[in-house]
Amino acid sequence: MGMEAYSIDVEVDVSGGLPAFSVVGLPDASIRESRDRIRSAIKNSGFKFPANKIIVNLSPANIKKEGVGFDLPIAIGILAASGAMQQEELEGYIFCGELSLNGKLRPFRGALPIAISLKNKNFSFIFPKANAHEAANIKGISAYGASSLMEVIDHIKGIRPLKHIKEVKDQQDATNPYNNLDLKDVKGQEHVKRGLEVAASGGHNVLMIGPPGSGKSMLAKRFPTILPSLSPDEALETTKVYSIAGQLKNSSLLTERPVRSPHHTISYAAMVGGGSWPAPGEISLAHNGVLFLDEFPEFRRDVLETLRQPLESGEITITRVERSVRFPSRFILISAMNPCPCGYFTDPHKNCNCSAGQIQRYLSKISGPLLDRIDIHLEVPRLKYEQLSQRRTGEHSVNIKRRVEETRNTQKDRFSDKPGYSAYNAYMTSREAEKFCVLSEEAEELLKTAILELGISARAYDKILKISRTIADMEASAIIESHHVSEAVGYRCLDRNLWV
Amino acid sequence: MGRTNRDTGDLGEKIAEKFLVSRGYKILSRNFPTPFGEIDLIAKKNGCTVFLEIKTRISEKFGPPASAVTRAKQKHIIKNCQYYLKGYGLNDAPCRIDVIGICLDPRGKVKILRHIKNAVELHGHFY
Repeated sequence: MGMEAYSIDVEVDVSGGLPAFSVVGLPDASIRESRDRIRSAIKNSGFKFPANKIIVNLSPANIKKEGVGFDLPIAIGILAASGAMQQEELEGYIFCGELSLNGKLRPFRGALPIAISLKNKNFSFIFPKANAHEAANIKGISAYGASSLMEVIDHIKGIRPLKHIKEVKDQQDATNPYNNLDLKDVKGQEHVKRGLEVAASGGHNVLMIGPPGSGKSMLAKRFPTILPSLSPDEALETTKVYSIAGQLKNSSLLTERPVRSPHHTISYAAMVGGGSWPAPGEISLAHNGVLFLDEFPEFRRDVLETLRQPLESGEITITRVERSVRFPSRFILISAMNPCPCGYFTDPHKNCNCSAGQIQRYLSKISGPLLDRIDIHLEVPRLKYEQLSQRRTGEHSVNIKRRVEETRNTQKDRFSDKPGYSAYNAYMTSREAEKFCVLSEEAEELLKTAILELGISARAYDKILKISRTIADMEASAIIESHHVSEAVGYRCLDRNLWV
Repeated sequence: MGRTNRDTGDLGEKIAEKFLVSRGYKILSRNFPTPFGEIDLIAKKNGCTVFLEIKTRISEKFGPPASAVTRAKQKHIIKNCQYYLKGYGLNDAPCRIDVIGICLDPRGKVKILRHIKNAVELHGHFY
């Protein structure tokens, strides 16, 4: 359910009376359907399916049971109840897996969260091979991988024990992450790159504004290359989400930060999560990574509004009739948009054909509160020919990443009592901001002037403080100086409404 | 004298009975009446009570005889059997429902006899 797993007891009672096979305990449709699958799997594994009244109870009885992982435990239960195995032989095991008609075991979703949640109860897990590899990523887990019902039975009876899946030592090749993309591929745009570095260092969200072809997508795709590497805890959390979503390739821990770039026609449920299960959405699949929304104003309003909760609290709650499910959702939002409907408002060469009203309407598609939650606004201008054709490449991502990791470490020390994913300047509470954002006199003056002259809102003031803190951290300066503040103010161009 | 369907059925039931006896079954009852109909044959073997539905055909024009036991018919059979079990207090005894399908040639000799064990099972709740 959501990200947590509970152990379910499968009880089987076999008695006289007209033969029947029923499953009780609020099974969902796929479990009810599994009767025929289980019957065939048992027969095709060479056992007689008992011609008796069989009742299977999934307890506790008041929780809804879902998914196809119950095939294996029910089949084992039936075999035990009909005498093919002894009860004692089954002690200490957790069984999970889908059965094919011929008795082969098929993988199910969510093996990792199950293994994590039930780790401390000293069970051994008998899973389909692929899931066993997934579960083995966790230290201290005893997991066996089987490929058929027959293999499981042989293991339990001691005829042919299954192989104990060892912890996977070498992860995916970490030397070529993100398909070799590098920030140095982008020519010029040093101001934007600097802004992205600030964002990466402090966990700040970004909105890029510029005409078509100015390089917004290219920059966004290379942003993950300057983010610090996934910590083991972060990797585990994110892998859990992918396991539940059924998107875990190779059953191994993720080593790169996830980058999700949904198209602007995405539906509400696909973005937030949901459906009948409910399954995690894009915002959860981007957990500990990057959510890139290109053509930001083209997204449906209600879909954009769903970003508010995760940007604020780092998780999303999906409510169904009887229960709520929480998925984690802490990501850096990189959004990109044109300055106006035709895109050329700020272009020095092309003419913009939009009226003032059109521009106003276009910009107001993103609600005030949503815009307020985006920390850094970056103008991405169209490059002049000389800049485009220069041979000199920019700085390598790997150097920028090193600086970012340094700055991150400063924040980790500062927020040592907070969980890892919240230990960024961007997630400071107001009290923390007051405590840690110490301004020099000059800086204070500058900020005061900015507020008065430029009419900056309270929330924007809050943002400027946090961004200044990050910029100061990047220079390893304990006090925030005025040039830090002025750079931060520079990242709030939309506050001053330069457009209209 | 034309052969009626009833005669065919009766003939089939006799054949089925002979078959079962030859396989070690003890016949408990024939054409057991219930308020909903009747049970063709009730037999016992190895402590298990076996209820039998017997379907006899002369031509295969309408398919194999066993396929005549449709879902509706199955529900009907189950009802009959439950009545019997309840009446004799046998609710927890081992039992099952079999179907015997018999194909006769025009002269009344047996062409094919199929004994399907445990042909009818209950689905879902049954109390």
